[in-house]
Amino acid sequence: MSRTSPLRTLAFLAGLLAAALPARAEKLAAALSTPMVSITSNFAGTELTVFGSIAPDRGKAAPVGGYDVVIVLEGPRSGVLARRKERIFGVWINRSRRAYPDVPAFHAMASTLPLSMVVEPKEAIRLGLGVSDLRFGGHNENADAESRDFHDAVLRLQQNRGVYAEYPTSVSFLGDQLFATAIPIPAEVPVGTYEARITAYAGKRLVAQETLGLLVVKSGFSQRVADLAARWPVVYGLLSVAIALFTGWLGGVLFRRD
Amino acid sequence: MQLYLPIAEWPVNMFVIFGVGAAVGFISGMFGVGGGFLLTPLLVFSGVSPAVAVASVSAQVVASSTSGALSYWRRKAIDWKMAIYLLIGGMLGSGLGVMAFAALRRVGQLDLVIGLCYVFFLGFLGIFMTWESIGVILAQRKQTEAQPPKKLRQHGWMHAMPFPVKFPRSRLVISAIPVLLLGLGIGFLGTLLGIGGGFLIVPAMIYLLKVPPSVVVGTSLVQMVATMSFATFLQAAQNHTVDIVLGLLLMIGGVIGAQFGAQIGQRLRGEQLRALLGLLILSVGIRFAYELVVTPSEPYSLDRSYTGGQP
Repeated sequence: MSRTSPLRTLAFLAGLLAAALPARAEKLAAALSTPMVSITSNFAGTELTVFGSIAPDRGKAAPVGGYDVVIVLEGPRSGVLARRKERIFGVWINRSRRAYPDVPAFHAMASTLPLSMVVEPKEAIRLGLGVSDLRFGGHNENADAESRDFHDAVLRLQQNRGVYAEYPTSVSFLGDQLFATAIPIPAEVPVGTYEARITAYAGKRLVAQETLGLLVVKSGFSQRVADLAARWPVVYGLLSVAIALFTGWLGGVLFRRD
Repeated sequence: MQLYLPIAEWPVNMFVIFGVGAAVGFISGMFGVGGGFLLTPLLVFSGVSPAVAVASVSAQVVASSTSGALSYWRRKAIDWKMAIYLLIGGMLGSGLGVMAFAALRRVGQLDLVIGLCYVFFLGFLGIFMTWESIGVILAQRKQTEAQPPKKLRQHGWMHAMPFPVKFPRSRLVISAIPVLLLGLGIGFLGTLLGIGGGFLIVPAMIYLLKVPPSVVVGTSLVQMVATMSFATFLQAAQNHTVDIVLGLLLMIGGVIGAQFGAQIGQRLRGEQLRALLGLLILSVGIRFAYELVVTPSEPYSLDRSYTGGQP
């Protein structure tokens, strides 16, 4: 017993080490061009630059095929009610509906290569990389046809609105280690707390990841108006009526011709 | 130029919204209607949520009606007594309208009800007005003798109702009940549909109450200013859906457009004006009917304001 103990301890430590350090250890560092996107009155959309570096650990060689990088920028998850129109007595009426408590308000994916060349489909779904990899409302592969239709419709409508998008091949490498991409932020971007998830792959295997935060907020005049409306609805209501009456009166005076 | 709407949380092209306001203002000035029945659908089409569009248009209707009402006031073409009766009913109807609006939005049938109401009211009214005014125009081609000025009228079934009230300015004695009910109905529909209701109240006053055309527009404008001010306040305070930046853009465009429209309108004869308005109303109604019946390219829609609970 006492003779085998050091060996066992050694084996145990080796196992620990193996678990803590994967066969290949990579160093990933990334940053955003800004920690906050401010929506001002003349906000017409902007770009968020995500840049960083990926390198093998000291003394290790880079993988043969190089690295691939996938960046996902995701907005806050919130409730969405999807409705489907059906024809009743010749008229199209909202009939069936599905409630999803956790739909991302925004989702943009940028990658070095199309996702299917970077990562296995199952892994893409697990990490929610592409738009079609997004899962919400407990949706899974065994869902019935109608659930799938609804789920697809949400993805489609969000894409049409411009809040879900994919930019495959938009991440470019500058040399072996530095990468960068500019993700378009449309003017329709919802406000809230965002997450930028940067993942690096080698040979379809996840080798490193990092998550960064981003805030999208109304600022300046827009924010003051929204604040007033939310906190002092009666004042805001009276003010709205006063502005309307004044504008109407002013117009009448300015353009008086009789 | 892009402008971000703080309550709608939606970017719009400032000049497009301004132009839409001016074009609709022109029409409203020409016919003496608020123009909300054109403005609300146009805004929804450009991406503003129906709830915000309806509420913000009510603010715009206040502005456009105010400048119109002031101009009729200067010309003393307002029956104040009737306006007060109408707006008492109107405020009550507006309160009910805000409640119905919120309830329909919850169950997801607001768009359907708005669509059906537009088809029903615009369709019937458009046909009726066009038909009637074309009849008048054709009759005038045949004989052009002037009709004698009318005396104080007492009208059949209206006379039979209780609470008769004398409206001297309109040279009319009718029961208070139809006047109050008309105000109530217009206030309710106006708030629910995001329209001033001018296109409903003007013909109703002409054809049902037999108010002389010379005071109809001015009086209905006064009623609209009061009722829609009330509706704007309720929508802002209760539903948080008035986007004052959107409203202001529409107002400025609308007030300017209305001035030019009013000048054109004064040069046209009453029946010509009614025929044109009838055709315009009819075409909007047909547009809504088409949307309800034709297979939609996208049968799904999303309600992003859903906050949980059983749908």
